[in-house]
Amino acid sequence: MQSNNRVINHFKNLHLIEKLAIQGFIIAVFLVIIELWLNSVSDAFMSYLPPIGFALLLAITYFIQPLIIGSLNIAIINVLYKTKGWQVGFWLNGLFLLLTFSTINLLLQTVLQLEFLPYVALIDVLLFLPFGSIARFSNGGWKKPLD
Amino acid sequence: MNSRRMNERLSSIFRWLGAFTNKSLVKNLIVITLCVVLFFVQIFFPFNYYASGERSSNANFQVGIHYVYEQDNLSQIYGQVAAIYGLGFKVIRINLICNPQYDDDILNQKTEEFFSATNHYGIAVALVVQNQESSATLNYYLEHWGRDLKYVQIMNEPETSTSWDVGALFTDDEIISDFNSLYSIVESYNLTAQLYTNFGVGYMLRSNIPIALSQKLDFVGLDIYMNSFLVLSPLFVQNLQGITHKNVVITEFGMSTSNSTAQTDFIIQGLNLFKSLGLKGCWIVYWNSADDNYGIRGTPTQTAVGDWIAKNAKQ
Repeated sequence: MQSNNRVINHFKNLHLIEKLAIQGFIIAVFLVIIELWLNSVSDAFMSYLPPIGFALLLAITYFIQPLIIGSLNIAIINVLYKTKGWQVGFWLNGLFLLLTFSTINLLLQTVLQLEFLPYVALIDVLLFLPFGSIARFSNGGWKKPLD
Repeated sequence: MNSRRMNERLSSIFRWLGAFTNKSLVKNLIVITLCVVLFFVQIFFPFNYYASGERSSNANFQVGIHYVYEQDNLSQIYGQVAAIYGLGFKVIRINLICNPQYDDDILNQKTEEFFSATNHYGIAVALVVQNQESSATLNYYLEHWGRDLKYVQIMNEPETSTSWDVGALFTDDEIISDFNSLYSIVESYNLTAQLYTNFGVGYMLRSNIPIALSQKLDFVGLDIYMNSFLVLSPLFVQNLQGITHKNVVITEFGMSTSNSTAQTDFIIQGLNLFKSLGLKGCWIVYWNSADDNYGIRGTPTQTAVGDWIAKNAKQ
């Protein structure tokens, strides 16, 4: 418990830019991993008991994935910025981050004709600082605990 | 002094902006608004990007047209093929028309006349094998004219077709088993023709069908009608390519309207878009059509398309 607190305290003492970088890196890597996983299983989902598999794929992509990303984002914010609670709901926050990520990918793939792997995925990860800023801006907590 | 005051003012504005946007309600509204904006960017950006300029220098872009020669007189067919060739079309898509019971039937004569013209001009032919085509008819056709085909379409928009009555959609099992029957007949002739199946935008709801069928196909077709689906077509093309791992050709593209200006604008806009997307080709429906206004023969659209081909797709 003590060692955990030491790690958390270390994170809290980082500069803002370092906190944004860490947050952006975690979110970007996580989004890339989910995207790769969804790409690899989408055929299997769409072929599974049609159209149930397709509905499941949509549910995972636009309901479960944003929930996970939104929860992860607020968890990171609470650890890095010593806040509690959240200002924007998990799902909405996750959907916003997902849409930002997929719009960047769409622009890169359309304009530069790049494949997702490795080019777009690499660019996404390299954009960790803007991602961190967007992730930090799109949600927050409060210094005082909520009743 | 002035710059210091300016800096102070700026920093106070930023502080106020930070405090204002840090309110939960405001932040929620900003995030919701940005989500809506990003959604619209994803919907409209690909079309606007590709339609706003030539993004692919595909000199071999193949413009084709569906010719309903069975609606023309026997004596007209050769001349019509010559006219289609003269405009620069590289592919003629046709229905499977023959009478296996009687060799000298007028339908067989028309088909014979059609192929003698296409062979003369060296124009590629794409045959549409309809969903419920009988094996006897298909066998007869392929025996007689199979070697003259460049493309064979096995089934037509299977995902939206009806099996026995209006509204009775083909089940997945029916589609796949019918496809396999037709496919095995075509395969038994060892033709050099490339095989494809075309899908309407409804395939999005039954994506398993293009995934299953495309495994035996050389490429897949996508049919685009209406402005709304033209705007969304880059997304459909990308999705269909992604799930089938095959090249996409626009196999049906047209507009049924008596307003030739609207028809011309629609078709030219589509041709520009599909070429810009880097697709192999786009086949227009129809050259002639007695029952509706799709036909471009003898209309200003015919001239406009001919001019477009001369400028953009002539080898």
